Amino acid sequence: MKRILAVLFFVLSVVPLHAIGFGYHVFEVRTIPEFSEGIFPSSILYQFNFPMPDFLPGSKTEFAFRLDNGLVYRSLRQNPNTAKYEYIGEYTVQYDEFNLYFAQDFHHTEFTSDDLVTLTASIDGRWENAFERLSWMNGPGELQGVFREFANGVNTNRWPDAAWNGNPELRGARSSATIFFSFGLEIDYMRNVITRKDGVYFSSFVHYAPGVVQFFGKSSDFILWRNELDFAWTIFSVRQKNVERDTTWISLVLEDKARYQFVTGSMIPGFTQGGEIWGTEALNSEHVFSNRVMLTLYGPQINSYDCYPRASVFFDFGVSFGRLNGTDENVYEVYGSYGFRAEFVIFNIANAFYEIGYVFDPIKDEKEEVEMRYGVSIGI
Amino acid sequence: MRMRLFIFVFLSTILVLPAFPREYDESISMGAGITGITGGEYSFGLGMLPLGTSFEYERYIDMIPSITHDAYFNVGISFSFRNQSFEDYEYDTGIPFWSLKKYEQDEGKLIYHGSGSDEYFRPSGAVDVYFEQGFGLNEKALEDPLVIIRLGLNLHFTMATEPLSLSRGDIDEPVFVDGYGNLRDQFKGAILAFPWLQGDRKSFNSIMYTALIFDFDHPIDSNTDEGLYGYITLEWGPKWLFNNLPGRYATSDFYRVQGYFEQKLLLYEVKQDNGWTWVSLMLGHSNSASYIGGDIVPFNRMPTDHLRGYLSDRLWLTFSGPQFLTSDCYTYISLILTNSLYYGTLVNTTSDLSAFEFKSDVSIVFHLRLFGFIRFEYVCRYVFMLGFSAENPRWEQGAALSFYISL
Repeated sequence: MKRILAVLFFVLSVVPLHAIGFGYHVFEVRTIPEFSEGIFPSSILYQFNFPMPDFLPGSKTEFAFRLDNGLVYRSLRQNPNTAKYEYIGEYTVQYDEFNLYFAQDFHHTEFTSDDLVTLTASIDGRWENAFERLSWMNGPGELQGVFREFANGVNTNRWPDAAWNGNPELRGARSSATIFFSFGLEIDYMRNVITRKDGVYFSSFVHYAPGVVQFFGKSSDFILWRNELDFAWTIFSVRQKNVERDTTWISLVLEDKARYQFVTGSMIPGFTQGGEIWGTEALNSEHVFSNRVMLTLYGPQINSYDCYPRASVFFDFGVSFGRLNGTDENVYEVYGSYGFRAEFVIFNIANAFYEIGYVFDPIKDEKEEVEMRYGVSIGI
Repeated sequence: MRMRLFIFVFLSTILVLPAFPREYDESISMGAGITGITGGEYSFGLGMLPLGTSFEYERYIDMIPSITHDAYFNVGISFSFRNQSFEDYEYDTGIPFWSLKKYEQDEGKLIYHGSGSDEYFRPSGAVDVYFEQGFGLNEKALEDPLVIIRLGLNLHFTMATEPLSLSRGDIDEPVFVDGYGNLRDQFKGAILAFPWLQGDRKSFNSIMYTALIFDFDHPIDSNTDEGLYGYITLEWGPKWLFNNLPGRYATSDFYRVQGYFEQKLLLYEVKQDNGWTWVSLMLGHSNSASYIGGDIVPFNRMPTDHLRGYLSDRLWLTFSGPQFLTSDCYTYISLILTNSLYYGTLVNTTSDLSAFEFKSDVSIVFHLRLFGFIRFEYVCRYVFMLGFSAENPRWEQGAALSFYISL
């Protein structure tokens, strides 16, 4: 950190500092159902920008510090002893992820507000601490956790001699630290004006965690390659008239989001899990592909551009193939879900939502599931 | 489920309200800020890494066109996940352990049963929403109002779960239940002393408040103000404000009055050519007072040692070093003397016991700020206490690294 600051001071001392502002972004705010019924946030990802002059005139240069912090739930789907597939249950992870992040944009287009091409590099650190679900030991029906259980009234380790090859970060005290390096390319030709989206977005990131730099206990040694390709098309929209802001009465947007990731290495921790599927999680294998098709109807923007109702139908599909992490076993597993979500977005601070979905093809022999949620979620 | 429905209706109502002031669309400027991250816990990242976050979202709204100052709408959101110690009070009467006679102590109904852990894990989250309208003009700082009226609502959720050490296998016995999952006796009924540990140990409470803020400060440079500043706050968390949901224990029924007044004087300053400071010396003094009334005080408003009254006097001297690189890179050292008095009857109790406690501490704070948002602070403090739960005079020290931004 000292060296980084020294470099930063040097950079700052040779460039003029006036007219360079600070900035910050809040990227993502998440909730979990067992904490405040999913209403209050339980984790957040945000970024502080260091003052930085643009290296190329007209193209943005970013030097930033990102922090991701909070509590999330994760599923254990591999037997700790054999690393073979077995659904064990859900557990809680408390984590902090720091990224020292550098990004350089190239080529501005009139179509979007962001530049067309961005190259990024970052140094990353992630600390995790895993423990049982918040509802564990809440009553006689909750005696069994993922890691421990109360058998005949005694606190018992469920996996006394486990190798934890499938989830190396859960060895020992289940506290782990990973240092990794990331490089990325983004191509952004997506015009996003909240109720209207058009264009294409592509990103490709490599996250490299070599075993030799794991100074705080070795639980990681992997290369992860993540790709995302998004399309969006506004089928129709009706503009509001006599309003300075470019707002709409109604619009219909079709979106497709495809993700593919490849991961390899001798120790692959749980946070590298890929795929985004409603109602379930991807199986942790070498290759994970997932896709979401979504059709969204936006209602009128009321008084302000970020206060509006919307309703979406979505169809998710995913496939995991190649070696199951930490084993020599090859898997091929397809899963999918579909659903409906209606919500009212209030100034981007709060969402009042209703959501129902059906996991029609679960992972392996886990049960098919209809799940309904409603409530308010708060965040920025 | 019913709790969720109530919170749902409640939150939708208060959050939709700001959508309908006059001339809304043209007069908005907004920002968001991350205003602090809670400190660490030894069991997590050696106590160095953050365990929670708070952030704010703000908007200016031109509510009363004839007044220069825009109304200000602010939403603050925070969460934190940390261990919490049990306190030594009888759970059914709220009587402090120290006041019991020896034979009573032996049979004392303490919430901590003596095995397992004296801590539990306490995730919590809060949302604070307020409106502010300024009146008058501060002649010395022309942009600022003299008097500000604030109306706010504070929503808080907290839950108590088994300590993380149980999940690691460091301790053998659960805290709230026995090894078969049956509730321990002390958690079965009403828990007067600690209302947030009743029932399913999930507790939601809401508080409404109003504040009157006086600001006679005038800025000397970008980081220092001189002058007078003060506020009076009135908080009220009555049962009917969603604090007594059907089928659950009441979580709050209290009020709090709070006052604060400070004076600051610049003693000495040397400036750089560009207007930044080389060195400065500042003297400050403040008084504060608060009183809590009512029968049920929730977790987030519990006073020190459960005493209703609080008075304090604080004197400080701050020596600031040079601003370097940018105006928000600087360092300062503060010497602070605080004298506090806690007094009155106890909260959350059946007893009419009253007590007072005196606390005096001298602290030295070393503060380094880089680009406004990285703050390193080291505090060293000598605490002298007199009173019913008096600990020995002691040295304390601590360091914290925090990230902060406001625009």
